[in-house]
This record gives sequence, structure tokens and C-alpha cells, in this order.
Amino acid sequence: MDVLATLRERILSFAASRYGRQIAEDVAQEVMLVLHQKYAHVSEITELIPLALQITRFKLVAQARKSARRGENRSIDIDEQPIPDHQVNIVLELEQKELLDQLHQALPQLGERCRDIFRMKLEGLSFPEIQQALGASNINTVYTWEARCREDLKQIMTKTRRPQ
Amino acid sequence: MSDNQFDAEMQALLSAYAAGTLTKDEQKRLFEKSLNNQVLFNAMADEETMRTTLDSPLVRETLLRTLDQVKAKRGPIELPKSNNWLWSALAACLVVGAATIAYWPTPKPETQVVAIATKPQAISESTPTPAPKPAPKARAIPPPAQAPAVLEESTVAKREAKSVDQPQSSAVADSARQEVAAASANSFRERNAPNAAKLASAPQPLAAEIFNDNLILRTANSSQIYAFLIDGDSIKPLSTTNDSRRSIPLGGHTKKAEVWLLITTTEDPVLARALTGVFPLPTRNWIKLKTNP
Repeated sequence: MDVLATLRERILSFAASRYGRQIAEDVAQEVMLVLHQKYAHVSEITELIPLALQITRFKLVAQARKSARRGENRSIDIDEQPIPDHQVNIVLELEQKELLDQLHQALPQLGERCRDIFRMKLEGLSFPEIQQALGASNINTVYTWEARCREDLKQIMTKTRRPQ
Repeated sequence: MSDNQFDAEMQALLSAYAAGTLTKDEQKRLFEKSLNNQVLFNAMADEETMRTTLDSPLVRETLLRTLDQVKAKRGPIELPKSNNWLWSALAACLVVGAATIAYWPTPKPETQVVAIATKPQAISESTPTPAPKPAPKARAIPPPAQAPAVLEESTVAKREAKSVDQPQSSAVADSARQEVAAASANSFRERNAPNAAKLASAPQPLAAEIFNDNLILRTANSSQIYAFLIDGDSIKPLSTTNDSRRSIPLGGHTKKAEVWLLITTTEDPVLARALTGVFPLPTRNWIKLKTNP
């Protein structure tokens, strides 16, 4: 129960920082509702948090889209929930496509080691396996390399991002 | 606030979270910390798009192809762009140094007398004179039986080395060249992905086809089979049995669905994990079969 309460606070703060307090309240409430109604059996933190983040993303896109269309923020009737919203899927797919384009542009600009690490992650290797493949003496070394590569990738992607 | 505020470990774990390669232990550390750190939680939420994008095996394939193209374009040696002047200066120094050494006037080596050939004396039968000393020429080339064992070994070793460097037989030369070409082509995977080397020796199926929504396989009994039904973004492991002739039902799927198949002689731990439903699916030399050809 404490975990769920903390999780709600985190989702609320995240959504408020991106879309404002009113939408954030609704989104946090809806995420908790879905978790309670459909995923009551999920209690392990390693499953609960990714699931909550996934639902949050979906709800945020739906809320932002409706809010932009209607020009208003409102809570949604629970009965409305089971109806699939294909528009949301289109928005999510567009987001993914844009990200993929950015990755295709950014990857060639990364350093050789960063590209190697990215490749190994795509091949499904975990950090201990990457450590072994790169011959690093310590797992923290791999963490540091990866953190730098992540920063580089983010910077390159920010530069290559198309103006909105 | 940026995510520079948490340490390198958490940043790395975030990145692996997006790629779906966190171990159980790392997952637990990251999630527990994210519940107590709003900045980290926000960063995780921001990684959701990346995570769902990289979740698709098709996306992974295209990104890997991009990386392969970069590797092929740049070649094995890559000079840092910012230090071009340094590399140019170094190359110039090397050229000057090599030219100096090549044209440096060197004194002619003095001729050393190693041996003087003398005409052998005639042997008189009446006077038993001691046997003449062997000519220096004979000492220069001792008979093989008297040569020390160490010398023999080193000679054999040199001969072998020479034969590798300059193969005499054209058939041997061809096969060596093929091996070198194959080794250089696979060098990255062998170096960086231990499982890729195993894949190179993977046996191919004697027969693999899709018939009546069943994957029909005939392979050796000792083979490990990893089969997945890829239907859009969804991945479904297909259960296999130990019979040499296997019929694996595919279950419900769309027309665009494909079966990705890998047969190896040894167990692949990453694929074994994927068979239990722990994704993402790694890149391998998949055999891809269309369910609706």
C-alpha cells in the first residue's frame, strides 16, 4: 500500500511537471484505477513500476490530445475507459517513428565504444556480459562509459531534432 | 533539474532499462531508488518512448543494420577528428625519419675471412700420416645426423612458419585465404558477443516449413531449437520438444506474422531467457519463415 501511495505521488509530480496540475491529478487517478482494477495481482516492484509508467504514458497522451482538441481539462467517465482510442495509438506510433529517425541520424555520430555498447545492448547483453566482452575490470567502469555515451546520444539527438 | 544529478550507475541503468537488458538485481536497485527520487522517476518516465521503440525486434534489426553500415564506412582505423593536426605532424615526422634512415651514408662492412679453401693433399699409402683435417667448407654445412636436436626443431618451426606465410599449394592458399576472410568478417561478433561464435557452428535444419499453422522441423536430436512467432510488435516463444521430427503449433496470428528460428549445438543463455518470456529478443542469425508465404 505504501508503495502504491508513493507511486501515485511520483506519477502526479511527473505529470504536473509536464502537463499541469489538473491533468496530472486526473492521470494519476486513472493510472491507480487501472492498476487496481486490472492489475491487482501485480505486487512486485520490478513489474509494478514499468507497468505504471506504461499506463501513465498512454493516459498522458490521451489527456493531452483531448485537452488540445476540446480546449478543456476534465476527468473522464470510467465507462469510457474500455473503448480503445486509436488516435492515441497513432500519436504514440508517431512519437516512436520520430525517435527512431533521430536514432538513425545520431548513431553514426557516436564514438566507436559507444556504438559498440549500444550494439551489445541491442543484442540483448546485460551489463555484466558487456563488461566481459569489453574486458573492463570493474562493472562501475562500464556504468561510467554507458552514462557518458547516454549523455552524448542525448546531446546529438537534441541537435538533430527537428524544430517543432 | 537534469539527470546529471544522479550518479553514473543510475544513468547507465536508465539506459539499460530503455534497452530492456537490466538484470533482476539492477531492476530492483533502479526501481527502489526511483520511488525515493522524483528526478530519477521523471527520467524513467521520459525513457518510456525509447523503451517501447526498442522493444520491437524489427526496430533493433534496423538499428543494428545502421551500426553495421557505420562500421563498414569508417573502416577499422578511426582517427579522432579534433586531433587531425597532431596525426598529420606525426605522419610527417615518420616520413622524414624513414627517409633519413634510408639515405644515411653507411660505411661498407669489412670483409671477414671466414674460411680459406685449400687443395686437399694427396694421400700416400706408404706413409701413414694422420687424416687431414676436414675442410672448412665441410664444417660450414654439417651433416644432418650431427646437427643438434634444438637446431632441427627450430628449422622445422621456421619451415612451418614460412609455409604459413608463403603457402606453396594453391588449394591450401585458397582455404587459408577463405578462413582469413571469414575470420575478419566475424571478428566483431567473436570479440564482443560470445554467443555469436557458437552461432557460426550452428547446424542448419534438414527441413523447416510451415504447414497448416504448424512449424514442422526435422533436425538432429542434439540440437537446441529456439523458435519465436513475431507478429508485429508481439513476440511469442514457441515451445519445442526433443523429438527429431517436431511439429510446433503456431496458435493465432495475423497474416504478416513470421517465425524466427535458430538451431544451435549449444545452449544460448539469452535465448533461453527469452523462451521463458523475458524479452527483448537478441539479434542472431535467424532463419525467418513467413507464416503466409
